[in-house]
Amino acid sequence: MKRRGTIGEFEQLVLLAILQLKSEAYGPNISEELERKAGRRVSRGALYSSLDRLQQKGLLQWEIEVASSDRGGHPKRRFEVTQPGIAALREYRKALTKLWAGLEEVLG
Amino acid sequence: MSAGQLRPPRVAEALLRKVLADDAVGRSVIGDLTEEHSRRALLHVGAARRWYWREAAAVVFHSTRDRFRKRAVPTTDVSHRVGRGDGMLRRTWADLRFGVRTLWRTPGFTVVAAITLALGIGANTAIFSLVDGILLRPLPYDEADGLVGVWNTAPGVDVEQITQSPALHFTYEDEGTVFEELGLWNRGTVAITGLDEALQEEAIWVTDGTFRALRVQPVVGRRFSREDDAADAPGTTILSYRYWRSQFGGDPDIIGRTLRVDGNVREIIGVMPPDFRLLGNDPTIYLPMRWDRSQVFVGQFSFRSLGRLKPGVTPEQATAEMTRLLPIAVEKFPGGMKLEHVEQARLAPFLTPLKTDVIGNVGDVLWVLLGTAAMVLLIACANVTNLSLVRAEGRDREVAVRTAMGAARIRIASQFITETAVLGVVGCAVGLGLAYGGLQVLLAIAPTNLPRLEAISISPAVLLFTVAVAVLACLAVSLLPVLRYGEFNLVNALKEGGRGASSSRQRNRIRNTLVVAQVTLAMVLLIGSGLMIRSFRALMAVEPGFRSPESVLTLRVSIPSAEIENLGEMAQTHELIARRIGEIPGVTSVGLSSSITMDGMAGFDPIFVEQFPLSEGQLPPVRTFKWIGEGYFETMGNPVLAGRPIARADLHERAPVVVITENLALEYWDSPAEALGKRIGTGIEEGDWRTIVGVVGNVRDNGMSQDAATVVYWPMITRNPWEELVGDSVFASREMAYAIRSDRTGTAGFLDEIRRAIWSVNSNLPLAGVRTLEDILDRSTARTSFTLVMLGVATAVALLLGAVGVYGVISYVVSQRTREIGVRIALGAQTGAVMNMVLRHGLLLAGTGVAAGLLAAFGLTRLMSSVLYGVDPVDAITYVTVAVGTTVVVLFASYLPARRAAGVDPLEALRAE
Repeated sequence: MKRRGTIGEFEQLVLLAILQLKSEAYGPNISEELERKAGRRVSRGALYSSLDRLQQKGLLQWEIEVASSDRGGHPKRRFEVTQPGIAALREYRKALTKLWAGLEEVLG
Repeated sequence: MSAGQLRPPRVAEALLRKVLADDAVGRSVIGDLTEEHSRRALLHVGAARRWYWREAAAVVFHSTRDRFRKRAVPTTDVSHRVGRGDGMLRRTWADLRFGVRTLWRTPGFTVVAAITLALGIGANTAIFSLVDGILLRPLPYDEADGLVGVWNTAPGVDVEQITQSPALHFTYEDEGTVFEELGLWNRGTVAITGLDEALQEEAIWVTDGTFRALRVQPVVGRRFSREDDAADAPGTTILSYRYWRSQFGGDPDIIGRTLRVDGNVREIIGVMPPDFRLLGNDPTIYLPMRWDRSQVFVGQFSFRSLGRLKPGVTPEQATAEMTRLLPIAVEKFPGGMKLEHVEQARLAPFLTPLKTDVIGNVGDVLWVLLGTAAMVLLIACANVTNLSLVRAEGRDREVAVRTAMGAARIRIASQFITETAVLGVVGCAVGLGLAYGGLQVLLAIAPTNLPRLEAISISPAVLLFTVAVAVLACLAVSLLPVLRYGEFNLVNALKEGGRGASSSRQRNRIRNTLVVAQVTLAMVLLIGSGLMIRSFRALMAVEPGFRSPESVLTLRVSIPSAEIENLGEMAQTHELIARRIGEIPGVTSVGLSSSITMDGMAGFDPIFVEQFPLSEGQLPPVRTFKWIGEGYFETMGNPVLAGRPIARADLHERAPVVVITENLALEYWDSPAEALGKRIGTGIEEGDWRTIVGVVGNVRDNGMSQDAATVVYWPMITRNPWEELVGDSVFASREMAYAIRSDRTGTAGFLDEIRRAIWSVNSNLPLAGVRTLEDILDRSTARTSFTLVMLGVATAVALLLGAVGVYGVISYVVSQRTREIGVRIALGAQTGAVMNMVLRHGLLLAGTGVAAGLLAAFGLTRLMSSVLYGVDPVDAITYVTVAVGTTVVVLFASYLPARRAAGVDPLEALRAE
């Protein structure tokens, strides 16, 4: 069960991937980015489900762009991380940093 | 590569469209997949399609799940969930998920337990649907509670229950005040001619009150009125729905058309509703009785009667009034029984709920079967309980950890109950499936004379019963494991190996008790089955009064007066037909009789014996009457014990002779031979004597399980003993049954040849009721064999479950004692001694179970005495055989673990600690 204001590990990865992709954050790219940089293969179903959830939490938003020819006339969705999204990421990093402090010896 | 191959799979895409919202977001998802698919398709079309399918499936799965979750938790705002984490529902949900997961992790236990429960629940559901459909559901008539059957009893002449006399019926109808409506009815067959083919069809004759009492209206036309039922009224008939559809294609303009019934033209005035049955009967047509009241007298007790009591009238009040009206009936309709006869016979009317008339005594069988099913369920519960206990033991540490972490006892208990409930739900579902399948089999093998078969289904009441049974079973099963945790010892359990000696002894006691209970119940069922087998064998050993029934074909031919008026000619036509059939190749002999053994068509009339005159006012005894032609006994295979059979000359000379059965001869004389030459008679009074010329073997005319009937065989054409009553000087039966003995019975074409032989004599004669003597015999034993099969199946399941239970317990105990056994072997115990030790445990269980089972069977099998035949409920042979058999099975079930115990390697056993 997730607690208030916190985000799950996978959600965090998705948000980071979107930030990395800047203005190129479309669905297929996010999936590719996750696989390439984080080694996470994820089905589209799971990915879209997470994206919808993050949007409902207000952590990201999207814009609909008009279709290009190789998409069978279907529109395109470009994702952006919102301010609360960035705040949540910062929060998470802060918690991690604190917890990591002094463990360099153990964790290397 | 064509452009078409670059498109994503159509079906997958259509699926996505269906699942995803039809908005920009939904379409963008499809767009993403399309884009990537076309990119991948450039490399490998097949791989791209597979990829698309996989991703589409994932999208469908996730979006469906998301939607479901949204519905289950109305808000997705995470903040709302906080603080609701420990609600009642949530806890149950968590229990449920945990339960499903634990059960999933132990598939062996889960499958065995669920199947065991399913068997128990399924058996109960199947049998209960029979009980519900046949016994419990009200009859399909309006306010069926007010309907009664009207009967008479006459203990003065040893008659327990006889049907109604028209004279009494009309008296009650005219003078009585207790009935709203009264009806008289009886069954028979009629020849329907003038359509494509002459057919002998079933008919029911009713008085006009019959349908009014049942409050049934025809779907087309009207019911019989008082005018239709008058003696001089023009002929009318009402069709069954079935006949209306099949013969007239459901013609809506059927009313007013005519039908030739037994040669007389009748106007069709109505069609009964499709589901209408007259007490289970579904004849082709209904006819009005049209009584001529001047011909009615107190006698002719051969009509069924039903009535509807006025609201507020009790059966007792009605019976009292009917009894009061008896003398009035004698006065109103003279010519039959006189008042002193009525008094001497102690004739008295009585009422039965109409439902009893429909279902007869089949309730006995059904309650026995339901009891059996209940026992199977108990055994199943005991088995699952045992399994759960063993499993619970394996989970002591889990429970201990949960308790240590602060879980309340009630939470742990509820966890166990939830797990059992999951099992129960699965068992219930599978059980319903089993019941549904089983019911189809049951209905297929059920005796055709089982009443109300059409009412049997898995109804809401049956479903409710199933759920109730499942809930009870779950409670029973979870009771012991839950109680066990009521006094759970945390410290002991947490200790490695956790063997609290005292508690384990107590647990073993519980388990042993459960196994003993299973053996006990299985014993009761086994003894029940054993008694049924003995009954069936006894029934099969009965001499029915005929030989090799499989090669005797029987059928009925009726010659209506419209076809041949003269009785002598009519009888000769029957003889001629018999001769023609006899000429067919392969036919050994042909016999004629008004009634074949056990076909229920025999007549009953009083007899007088010249040598033993009745004292003044004494009533003559009533015996079974049949009218036969030559060759009947020979064809049936019933031996002539003394004298001779009816010969052809007897028929032509109208000779005053009869043949009687052995038991009737012995009733009056010391031996069959002594009866020869003596004279008996029937009719209204003594004087019309006929000489006994032969005595034949006994016949079980009332069914195999009934005493042999005492029969008088008359020549099929003879001087009329009731001449002064009916006016005809000759008596002959127009409808005769033909018994045809041939090796060709049942072969193709044989029946056609018979049909041609009959029609070569007269092509207007329909034949009916074609069946072999064996069919008639099977029908008579159907109920016993049905009960036997049902009990047999139940018993097999019970024995199997019982054996599995014993095996489970003994193996468990062996596994618990592995270390001890290892030590014993290490100290020099012999293999035999170890095996004996384990077998002794098994023997103790068997002994206790068998002893308890014998006692229980002693008490319970009495309840089934009404379905037994020729065997005492406390039959020593059955009891001993079953006791020995059960002991052997239990010993075998303990032998396997015993052998394992003997093979314990002491080193291994000790190291395992």
